Amino acid sequence: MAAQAKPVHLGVLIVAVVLVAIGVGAVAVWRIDWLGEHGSGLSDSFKYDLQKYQKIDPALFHYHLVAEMPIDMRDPRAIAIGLGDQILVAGDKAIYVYSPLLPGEGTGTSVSPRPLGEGPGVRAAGPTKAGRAVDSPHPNPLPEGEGTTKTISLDSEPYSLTVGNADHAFPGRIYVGMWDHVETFAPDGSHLATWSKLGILTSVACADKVVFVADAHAKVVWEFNPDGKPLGQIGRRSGSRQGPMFVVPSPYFPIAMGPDGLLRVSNPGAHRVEAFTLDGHLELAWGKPSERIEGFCGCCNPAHLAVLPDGRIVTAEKGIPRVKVYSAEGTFEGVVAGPESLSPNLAAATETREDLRLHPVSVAADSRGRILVLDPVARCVKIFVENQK
Amino acid sequence: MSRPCPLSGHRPKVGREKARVRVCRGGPRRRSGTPCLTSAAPSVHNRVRHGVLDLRIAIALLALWTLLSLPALAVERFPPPDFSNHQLPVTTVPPPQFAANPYVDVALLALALALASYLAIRRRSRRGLFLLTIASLVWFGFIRHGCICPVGSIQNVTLAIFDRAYAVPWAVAAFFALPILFTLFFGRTFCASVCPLGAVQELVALWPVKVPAWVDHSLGLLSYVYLGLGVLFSATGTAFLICRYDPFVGFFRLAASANMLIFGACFLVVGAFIGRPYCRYLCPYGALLRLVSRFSKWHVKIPPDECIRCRLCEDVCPYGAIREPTVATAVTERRRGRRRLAVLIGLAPLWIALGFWLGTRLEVPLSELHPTIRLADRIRQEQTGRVQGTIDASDAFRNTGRAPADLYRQALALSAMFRTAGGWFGAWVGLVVAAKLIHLSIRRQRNDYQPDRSGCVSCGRCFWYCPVEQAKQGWIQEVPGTGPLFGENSLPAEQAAGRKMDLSP
Repeated sequence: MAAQAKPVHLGVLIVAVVLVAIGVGAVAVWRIDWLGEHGSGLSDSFKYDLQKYQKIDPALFHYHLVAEMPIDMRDPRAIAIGLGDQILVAGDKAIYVYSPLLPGEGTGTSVSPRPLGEGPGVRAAGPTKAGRAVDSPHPNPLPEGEGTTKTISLDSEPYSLTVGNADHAFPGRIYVGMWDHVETFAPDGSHLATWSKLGILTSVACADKVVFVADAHAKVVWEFNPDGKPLGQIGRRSGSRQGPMFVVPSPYFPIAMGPDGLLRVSNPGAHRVEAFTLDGHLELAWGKPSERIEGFCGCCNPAHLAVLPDGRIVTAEKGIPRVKVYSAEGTFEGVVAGPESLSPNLAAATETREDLRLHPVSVAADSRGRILVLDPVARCVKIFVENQK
Repeated sequence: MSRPCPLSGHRPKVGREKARVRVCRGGPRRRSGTPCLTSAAPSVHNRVRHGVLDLRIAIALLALWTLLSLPALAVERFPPPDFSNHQLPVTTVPPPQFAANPYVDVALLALALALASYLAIRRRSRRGLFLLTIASLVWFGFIRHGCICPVGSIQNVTLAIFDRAYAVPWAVAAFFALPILFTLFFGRTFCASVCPLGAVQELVALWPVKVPAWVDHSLGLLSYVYLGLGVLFSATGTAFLICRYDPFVGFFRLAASANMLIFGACFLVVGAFIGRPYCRYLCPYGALLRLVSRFSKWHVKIPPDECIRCRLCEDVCPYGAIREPTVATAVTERRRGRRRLAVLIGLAPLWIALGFWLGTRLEVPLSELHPTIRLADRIRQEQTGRVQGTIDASDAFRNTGRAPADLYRQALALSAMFRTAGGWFGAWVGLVVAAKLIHLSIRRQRNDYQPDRSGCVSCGRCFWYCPVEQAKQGWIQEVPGTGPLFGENSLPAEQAAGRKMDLSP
């Protein structure tokens, strides 16, 4: 008698299927490479190579580097020009106030780039003095004498900075954008006020009687009077203000006030620069997304703005670090600095973690048309002047 | 041997037949020994019809889901890689995010919770709950991409507690609090048909089998352990572990690594046989709701009136959440139980202390997940030549210009923090184990089949199968001469619990 095959019990089959599924799932979880330590597994043809986008035609450089001013900060983040072309740099829970560059500094083509901390006319912050000031428990260790470095201590990390110009209601007043609020200081460094909390503040600019604060969280530009009283918003559709909504994917949402009375606002997700009147109406917009030099590339650029005395706009980009100059109407004019003249690390595409993220360069322009580029990796201010035509 | 239905010829399953036999034969006023299958025939039709409907909808959704998931392997880059024949697409500017999204999400969540509670408690509508399940899956899952969700919000709330610099968005806080609030009043109606993770598992639970009680209780502890890990890693700023290993969010977003998609698919395969495996054995938010649901003011009831102890609910519940009536025990047994309970309560502090001690031993494996400690270890290995080459993280670190010594100091400080955090995690696990043992040792008095308040997800499957419910809805009628179907318990509690009934016709 032939032996009959024993039928597979349904329960055994189900248990087997479940166990196999659990095993496969466990292996799949085990193989997940969250940190990319095993690489992508793709061939070189899939390599994400930005090298060719970093090359800039030398003929497009309209500026050249003339000097470098070392900044004794671990994490410098913002730069601004004060009254009389004082240079203010914010970072490391402090603001360093530097004397103006000598009138001749950087105005001639004969001045060549120098090693850090050397050369006439560039007054570097004394490391010991600055370091002591930052660590000092005293709120305002000021002043230390005319022409020398001043330090304003802050309670937390600053992210943006502006100074009221001569036409401002309070010339020389310092407005510091912290993470979520604004602090104001008198020209002598004494603390004036702490404004109410907002969202994520990325940039501050001031006109005659208005202070603008860019909020990357609310995606609007707030308008305040110099005492911190809210006056309105730009970027939120309401009533007669049919302004565009800003696309702000990352905490880089710069603004700058121009001599023509228009507020320039970067719309970084749209790769545009937009100009608004003081009452919030859009006047003009320019800029397009492109890897080409005249456009803005990456997820969100430009990351910083400055305005030259003649009304031209200086833009600074992150990702592929580029500083460029456009006319007030947005016509591309030339390049100030590219990856070659900035820290090579700034061009690194490997930003794996927030605490290792490199902040992009910050820009400012003084009354002589010199462009000051804060290089956060090299921890210095690079001074560029326009080529003589 | 089951008898075919005289109306349709359908021969019900033996298990169901057993249940019906008990309904009629076990009653105290039984007048006939004939099983009243005739009276149950319409409900069999209902069940078959609804079962087929369920199956069709589930298969259709599964097919649609699979098709939609195919593009998930694509990777978006900008600027795009330079392929030889690749035409660069025109760059589009993303539209701004709809500013009212958080308000809409919270309003819809509150509405869905209210509707689920109404359907489960008041209307007792399995069909309504099922439709709401699909709607929630579509909106909270595929349209809102599984984010924001209450499951992950545990981590946001934890991080906000431990990190003063982190502000939890109000909508996330609302997503965390609203389901807990509703559970406090109505039981786990969030799990019933609002949670997209539960919804997808509800749809694939096609051939559920009973999980042995000891396995169910043991695996159920995992969700509390996972909750502890999720809190630990979010409190230390290590990672949002719960979101990272969410098995279904990759399907919702149509984007995930192949391994995560395989992981999710495996859960669905398991879910076809074991009802809601993620909800029951892993979901940390489910663990919270289980605790809260024990104290809920109202909870779904299986029969709308008096239970007739037919055991159908116990048979059909795919989640093993029906508790049978208890039987009277002898005085000596009760005394022994009290002694056991006292010992377990006395041992609880020891469990917690042991857990704390063991948790501190977990300092190294736990801290290895922290990105700073991983990075410090990697830099050390690269410096000492133990590994060749660099990785993105080590490149990024060197780009910052920081000294490795700074990183090592930071890693050591974090490691010490993990020793303490691991201790608290171990204490939590010890507390969970002790509480489970105590919970199992507490004797409860139940006269009817009742849903386990903590385990029941209020899915309403048992409504359809309850003869009392069917009679109330007019789906079945009493057969004259078989005695009342309900009004009095038809099966003695001892027999129902002990399952010693004579099943022969």
